Amino acid sequence: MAKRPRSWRALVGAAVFSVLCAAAAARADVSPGEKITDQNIDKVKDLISPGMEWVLKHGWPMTIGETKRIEWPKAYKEATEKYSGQVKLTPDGHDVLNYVAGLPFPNIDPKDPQIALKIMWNWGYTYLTTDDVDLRNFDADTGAIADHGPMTVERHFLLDHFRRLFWTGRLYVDPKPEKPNPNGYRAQQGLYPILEPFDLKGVGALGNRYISSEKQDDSWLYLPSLRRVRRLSTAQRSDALFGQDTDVDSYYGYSGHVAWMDFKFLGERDLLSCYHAEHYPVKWHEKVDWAFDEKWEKRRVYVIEGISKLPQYAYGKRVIFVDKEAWVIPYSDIYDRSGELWKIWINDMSYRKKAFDGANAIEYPDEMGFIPAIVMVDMQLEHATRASLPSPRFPGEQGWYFNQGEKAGVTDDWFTVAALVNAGH
Amino acid sequence: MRWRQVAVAYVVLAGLAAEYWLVERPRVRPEREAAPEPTRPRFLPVLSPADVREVRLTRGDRTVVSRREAEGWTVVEPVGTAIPSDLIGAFATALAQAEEIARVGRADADSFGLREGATRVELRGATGAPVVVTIGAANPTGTAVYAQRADSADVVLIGRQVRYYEDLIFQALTPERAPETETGAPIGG
Repeated sequence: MAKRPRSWRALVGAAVFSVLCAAAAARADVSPGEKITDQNIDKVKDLISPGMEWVLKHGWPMTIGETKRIEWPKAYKEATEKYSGQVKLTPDGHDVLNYVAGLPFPNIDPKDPQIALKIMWNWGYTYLTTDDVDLRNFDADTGAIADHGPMTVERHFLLDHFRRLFWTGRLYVDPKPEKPNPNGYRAQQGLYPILEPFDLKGVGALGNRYISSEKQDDSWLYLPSLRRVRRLSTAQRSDALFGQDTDVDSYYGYSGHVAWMDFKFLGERDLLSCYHAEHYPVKWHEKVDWAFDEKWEKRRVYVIEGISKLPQYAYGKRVIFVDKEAWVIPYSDIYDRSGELWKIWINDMSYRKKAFDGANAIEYPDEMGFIPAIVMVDMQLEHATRASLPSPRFPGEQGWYFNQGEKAGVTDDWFTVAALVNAGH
Repeated sequence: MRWRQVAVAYVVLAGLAAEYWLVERPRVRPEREAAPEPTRPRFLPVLSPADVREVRLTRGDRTVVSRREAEGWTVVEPVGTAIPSDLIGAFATALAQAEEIARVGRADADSFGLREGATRVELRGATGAPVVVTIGAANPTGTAVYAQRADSADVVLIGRQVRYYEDLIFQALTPERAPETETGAPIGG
């Protein structure tokens, strides 16, 4: 009789212990300082995408960091408060009406039938760049990647400039909020000239995007070897260029026009993202050198599916994650037309006021979205492109210059075909 | 130049023009052409996405049932669950349109994750019997998943996106956890 109560207590104790263990397992979470590898990937399986799971299983290093606030720039916040109330979306969702500056749709309602489009338009008008940006002296490597090993570099690229000039939604550089705009530009973008490899020296690309969704982008590619400027269709923006894995439409995670995709809202979730990279320039992992070695923090994101309306588009589907607070894309998964996982674009972001400590570095009044590296992996070919933005070959190079206008060489003239051709000579 | 040489030149030119018009020109791909037809067989050839009226997913002891209504998809089980309508629609479309990336053939279902831990999916149309599918483990390269139709012993490989959307649906059943910085924070910091 005396033993019965003890066994009863033992049973209850065991049951309580099992319930607690099960609850702990169900709420398995990550904490700052933890290292995630393919050995303990189950801890984060609900916090990553299939593309991220693939790279982790192939050796990508991940250290968990603390989640930090990302403050909007003061001018952007004020513009949002001032103008967002008047912004409307057309019934088809293809165009934003009455937009002046700031975030067009700060209040996202999950029951709104246009929620996916509003999230994507918010991404399109994010403060990552409001006026202009000049990215200088950056390099890229492309090649086959080994499982838990390095990249076999097939081609090395060195590029002079990637520049973007926004004609609307401007907050810092006069004229603002809109440049006199007879062509109806939303933005112009250029990537030129390529300095290395030798056989691609002088090659470059240029594009214009219009405010009206009825106008397709103008896109040109200059090939000095042929002395020809080739015009690209909108669908060709998804083609990988120069032997790399990257395509223009995947820049920043997604750079296509909002109106050219059918978007669906797949929900909200927590996602590990790299927004406070400590290394500038980028630090590539010693062994898995196609992966940047940084801290990843848990963030709340919207999950959006995008299917192109263009029949010749290279990809079947994109799954885009958009941060609820910062309105940036930490990474996006890309599927082929069979629904097979194909590629992932990963941003290494670092919100900070200066590129690095130093007298010559520009100090911005607000934290800006520096991106010291990007990686695009082709999972089917086990091939990748990594870009150092800027290249570590140029000590003291800030890489990213935000909202500097003519001081950084971002002038209207630079975004012309004539300038593209001249730079290629 | 004599008239015979001129005549020969014209004949050669006419031949070249004919060759271009009849042979070369048809080879040139137009700037915009229709999307290429899928070359792989469909996994569920009897069902088109528009026909699907009900989706029932069962994983372990959890079941999600959703029905298509005029405004989209409504979750009828578990009651009161906030799963986005578009997510159910995207899952149904992805599965109904899935192509057979590879056919494994008759195989041990266990070794392809098609028993324990698998998800059973029923897609119901307006009429007829439901199409029942089991979705198993990911393939070794992690880009696709193994699946099996109830009316076939063959194991096939379909796109990974189906599993991801299925994961998102089951994740939506658990309570949300907001990162510390967002609790009570105004939009824009």
